[in-house]
Amino acid sequence: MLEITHKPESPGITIILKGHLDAVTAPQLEKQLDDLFRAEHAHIVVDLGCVAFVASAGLRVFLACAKKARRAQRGLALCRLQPQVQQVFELAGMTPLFLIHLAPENAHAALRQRSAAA
Amino acid sequence: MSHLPAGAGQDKEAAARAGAIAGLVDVLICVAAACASNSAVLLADALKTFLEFVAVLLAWLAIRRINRGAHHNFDYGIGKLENLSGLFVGILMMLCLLVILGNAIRNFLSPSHVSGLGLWIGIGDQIIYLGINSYLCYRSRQVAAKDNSPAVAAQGRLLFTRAVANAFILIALVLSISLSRFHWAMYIDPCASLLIGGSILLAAFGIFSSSVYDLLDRTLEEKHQLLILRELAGHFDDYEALHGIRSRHAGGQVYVEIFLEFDPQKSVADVQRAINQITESLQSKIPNSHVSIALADHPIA
Repeated sequence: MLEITHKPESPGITIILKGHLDAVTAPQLEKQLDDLFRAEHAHIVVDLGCVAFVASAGLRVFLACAKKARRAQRGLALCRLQPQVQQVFELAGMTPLFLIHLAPENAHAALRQRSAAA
Repeated sequence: MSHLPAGAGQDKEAAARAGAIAGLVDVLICVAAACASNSAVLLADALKTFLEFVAVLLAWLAIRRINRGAHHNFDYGIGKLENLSGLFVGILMMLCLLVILGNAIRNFLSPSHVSGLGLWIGIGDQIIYLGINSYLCYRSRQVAAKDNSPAVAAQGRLLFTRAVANAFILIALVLSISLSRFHWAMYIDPCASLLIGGSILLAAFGIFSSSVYDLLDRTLEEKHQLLILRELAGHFDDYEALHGIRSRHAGGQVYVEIFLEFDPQKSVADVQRAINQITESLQSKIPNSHVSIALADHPIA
């Protein structure tokens, strides 16, 4: 079970996830992220504070989305990763691919700064 | 399995044949002992020995088939035959378990002291095999320690388990005979047979869980999925998009398909180099794996 809510933070958006991210729920997240990429938000921050478990299927969605974000020149950041989730990202060697912050506001600020610098 | 050097294949077949013949001799002795006594534990031992013989016999038949050129008709090997053989042995195990359980219940309902010539055949058989298995276990452990070989170490563990089983049956038989003046000693024999049944049940579960999942093309375990993602994250700049990952177990082999999109401006040589690096790295990290990377420009379910 995965609950997904949105919080606009112009010019970006925060997606708040709640529940488990596994083979069953990963397609749901993938579709949401695809829709948001199409909606032309300047950047997306994924709040994982209420996600206690991320399986490889979930990581795969993030890896594919990191590619999509780079291709579309959008910012993608993660925030509030629980220690066990952070560990899974590290095991998969995926932490260098994302901006990871403790709070969504910091993540948005960092993405804004990066796009301004570009 | 399907591409063994000719010599290695013949050696393997000879070893499996010798194992099957030795197993048949053991089965005949155990069946004779069980038939010539009223011991539930000897019946359980005979059924357990029979199951081991069937497993070795099926392994010999599979190796024979490979050596006779089965791989010409089976490009992906005949690994699934091993899964089917495993399922067959698993079903046999469940049938044997029912016989052991039924016999133990009968002995509990109408208990009697163990007797008959078969008891002495059984005791002799257990002493001989306890000696043989203990000696082979000792030798295997010595070789494993010297050569640092996991395969020989595993063989040593198997022989140790067999020696423990021989000792267990021997003790159960000796106690049943020596304590026959006590009424409760009549229950030693069926209790011991139930413990042997328990060990068969555990083995059957292991066989069913691995064989059934492999036949159903189960995907890779999480630890291997993480390895794939780690590899793709490490080559993040080499491809344009990740369109899907598919994996399956099939008869002891692992097949992984990764669908990637590359920059059309890249040369074929650069794409091939990236593909080779990812493929070789994954195949070295995931045992018995065959990794294919396919070009795709849309998501693959």
